[in-house]
Amino acid sequence: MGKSYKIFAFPEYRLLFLIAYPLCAIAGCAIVQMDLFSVLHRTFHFMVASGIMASMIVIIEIIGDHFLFGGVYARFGNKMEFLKLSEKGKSLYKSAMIMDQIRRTVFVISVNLANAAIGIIGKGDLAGWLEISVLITYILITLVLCNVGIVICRFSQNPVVNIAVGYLANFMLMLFMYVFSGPEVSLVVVNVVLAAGFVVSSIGSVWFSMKKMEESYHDE
Amino acid sequence: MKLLQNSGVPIYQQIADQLKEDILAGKYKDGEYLPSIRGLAQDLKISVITTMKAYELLQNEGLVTAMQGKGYYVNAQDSEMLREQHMRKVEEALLEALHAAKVAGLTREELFEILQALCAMSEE
Amino acid sequence: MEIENTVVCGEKIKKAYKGFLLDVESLRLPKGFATALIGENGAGKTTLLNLMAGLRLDYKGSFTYFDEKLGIDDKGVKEKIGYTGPAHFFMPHWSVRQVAEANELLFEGFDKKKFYEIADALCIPVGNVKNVKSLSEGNKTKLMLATVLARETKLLILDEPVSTLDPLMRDRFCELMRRYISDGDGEKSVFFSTHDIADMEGITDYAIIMEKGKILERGFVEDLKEKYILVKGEESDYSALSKWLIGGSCTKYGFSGLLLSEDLERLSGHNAVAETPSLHQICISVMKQNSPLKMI
Repeated sequence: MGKSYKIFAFPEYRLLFLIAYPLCAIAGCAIVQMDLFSVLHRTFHFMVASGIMASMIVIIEIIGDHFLFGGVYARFGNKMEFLKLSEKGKSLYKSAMIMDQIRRTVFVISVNLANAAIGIIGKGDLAGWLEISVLITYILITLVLCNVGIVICRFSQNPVVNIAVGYLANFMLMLFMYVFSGPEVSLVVVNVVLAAGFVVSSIGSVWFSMKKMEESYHDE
Repeated sequence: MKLLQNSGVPIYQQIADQLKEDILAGKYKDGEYLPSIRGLAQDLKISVITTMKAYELLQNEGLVTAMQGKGYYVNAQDSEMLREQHMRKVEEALLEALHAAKVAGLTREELFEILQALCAMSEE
Repeated sequence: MEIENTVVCGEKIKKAYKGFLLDVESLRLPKGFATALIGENGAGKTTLLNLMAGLRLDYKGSFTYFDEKLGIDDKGVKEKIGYTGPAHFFMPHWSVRQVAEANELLFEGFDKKKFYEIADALCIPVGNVKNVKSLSEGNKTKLMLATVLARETKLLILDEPVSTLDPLMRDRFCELMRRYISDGDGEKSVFFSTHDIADMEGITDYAIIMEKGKILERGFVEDLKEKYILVKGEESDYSALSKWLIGGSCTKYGFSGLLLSEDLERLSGHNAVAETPSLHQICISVMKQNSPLKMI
């Protein structure tokens, strides 16, 4: 499976997206959570770190996809010829798509957990129930927005589209966060809906990729 | 091998002629294989089918034999046939000379004289 | 001459697309030779090549490959076929190096060292360009050729391989193809489409001429050159002969056109000369005879 990912992810991409960028994200969280505003409650630090991180991740993931699967759904662009010419092409393509989904999910979950861990270790007490559901909300909303944004961007080979969709997703993220932070919203319901959205968008994007590839065998 | 693109003689004919000359001159021994069709095509910068046609021409003249999957080898040139081939060449050249003589209005005696003089010259 | 061994066999190929119909009753490519596919724009050359290379599956009929008469998705078939397209088909943001890496993963027989050697010999800027997209059109073609030649293939399907190449590179291309066929010793075959038939005549063994989705003429080049003769004559004889002329045209200084060799006797009593046509002349005349194109 790793092999398939290598076809699309060139060494610089792998270095950046698998090592440098997760490390930077965690380091960023740690810096934000350092006791810069000691007057404020620790939850604030955690929220700020999570928020900044989530918005950064959404933008970076969506723009980064340009260098991985940029424009693979484009109608008159790249029709995946180089994959279709190889016996292994279709299966390698599918596993690369799955690998990318797994990478993104694992990365978002682990960076968020690391952020929570920094908060817990830094303050020396356990996170309350509220903070755990907030954590789950952050993770799910980030993943759903990434999945949806990426599928949209793959229709165009132009990186500007990725940038625009990235910032739009960022704006949506802020909007959702603002709405969900209201006291009258039940985070349990929100999380269930988001979890369903995550499952559908993850499996759906792989399914859609394969459907697009099948379509490319037909002119009409 | 010299191939002329615009000589009016088809390329395959030119190849066949030159190979024939080589075979009759004994450059290829009996049973020796001619260069492979595709190898020769590559070296001469021509298409495979052109070389193939040249070889087929030689085969039709009985100079070479095709071996399935191995190529074309040179047939034993029995001396009688070889002589005949050479005779034909001499005849051709002389005919040409005769034609030229006719144009020039030479008499038969004059022609013999030239031939004798040439023979004497080449013996020297 | 009949085709002894075939490398690709197509039967009853039919594909309709936007009012165009590709209809090839039977197609046989000779094994160990280079076959040229010639035709006007829109004649269906690219469509035919796409079907053969397995890039499109929406057609009726069937293709079988190699001696074992295998289908395109049978094991080992795609491995033995090298294809280059009219436009480059790698991910546009890839570097040349990444193209090599990807090909290594996609094809068992890809030799990376050989690829870089070929890339170097063909002067493809490997390290100097940011990505494949920014290569010149000629270099894109050369890059595709290099990836294909660095593999162990038995059949090359090349869609317009020389249209973007300069004259010297075209000559070089012909030499590469000759070497490919010569190395294969009867096992390796090439099938290419082209508009530049005059440049490619030196490597063309078999020719297929297409028009409006159908095959008009096909045969080994030397046979075609015997089948047709090129006739030139006086204007006054044109009307009497035009019935038999293929792709004939006439000016006040005389006419020229193709004639079936079997119709040679029609020339008797007319002031006309005949010569062996080049493949280019055969193609142009046959196409002209069947083309919807008109003089303005």
